[in-house]
Amino acid sequence: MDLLSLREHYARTLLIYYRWNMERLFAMLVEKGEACLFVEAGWTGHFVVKINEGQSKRIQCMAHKCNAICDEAIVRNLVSKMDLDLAEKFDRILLESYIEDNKMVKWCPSTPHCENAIHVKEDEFCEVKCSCGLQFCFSCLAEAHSLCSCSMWELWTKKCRDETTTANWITVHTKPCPKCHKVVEKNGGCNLVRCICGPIFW
Amino acid sequence: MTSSSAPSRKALSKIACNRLQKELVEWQVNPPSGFKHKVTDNLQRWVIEVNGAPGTLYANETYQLQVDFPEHYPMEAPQVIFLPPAPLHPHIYSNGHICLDILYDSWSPAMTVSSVCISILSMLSSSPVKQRPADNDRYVKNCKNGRSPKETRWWFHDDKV
Repeated sequence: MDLLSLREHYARTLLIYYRWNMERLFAMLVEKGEACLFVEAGWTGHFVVKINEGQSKRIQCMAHKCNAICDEAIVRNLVSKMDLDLAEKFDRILLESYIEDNKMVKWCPSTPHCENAIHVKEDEFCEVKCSCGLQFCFSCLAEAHSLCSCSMWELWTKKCRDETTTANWITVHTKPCPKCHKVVEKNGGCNLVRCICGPIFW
Repeated sequence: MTSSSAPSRKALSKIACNRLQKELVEWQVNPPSGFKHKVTDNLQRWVIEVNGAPGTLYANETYQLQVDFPEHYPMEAPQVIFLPPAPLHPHIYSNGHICLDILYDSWSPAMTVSSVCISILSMLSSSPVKQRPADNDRYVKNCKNGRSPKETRWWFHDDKV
């Protein structure tokens, strides 16, 4: 806020717009000189609809083709006059949007959720350890996989899943021959099954 | 044929090549202690010198590991064997084959040559006795013609050593 010399909620609106990327925001401010924000009063209904849709950040002016972003303080003020719960929801979604937007911050993928979010400093392609103890790949949120790329790790987990599915299918749908132990599938007929090596079973 | 014979295999895929280049760099920057990789221009076969850890039954002994990479490494496990003479160990057969789950069923592409080496050294270090596996002769006889240990159906029953 201090760096931007703007009021807190203006700074937040701009940071949200630039996905918490300070460098891009500074570049824009230098280029444009100032941010142009405007809002008109009396739009409570518009805001209520937007918040109920799950929006908090970047609620735009409802005029056709007007891309202006509504002032957060005004939205909160207008909405809280009508529905306090909704105003709270507005604030909660706004807070959560920080994590969703900022690619350097992510929720810890632990289950049950430890409610921690992790902020990385420089490289989003790294492995991190949450204070809950879970180690994971910050980029794909899977368990840590070191030199293996995220896409290859995904392929591998899919392969393992498929193999388990195949193994399960075999356990459920087949029986091994009591003599040669080869798995036999009975896909119809009576219970008299004779393996090619001799024994009758099922 | 001996266990050092080249397994019939295809050349490394591009992905495997890139991955191995990365592992090689990583090894050079941060080599696992107790190991020395004899770098050759053959990326598909690494020969690695292992020094028995001090204070264990294998202290002051040196062995050689041969690591062969399949075409689709790391989606498939590398083949890792000891070159003769293989250390006397309850999980190491006289033909150099190693009974260690991560080399077969429990392999995952998150593992590296370096992490495999460390597991093997830890397996060596934890052994209380220098002896061959109970079924050594039968197993080695069945592995004629330089069969790969990856074709063996391993049964991992001992988690102590």
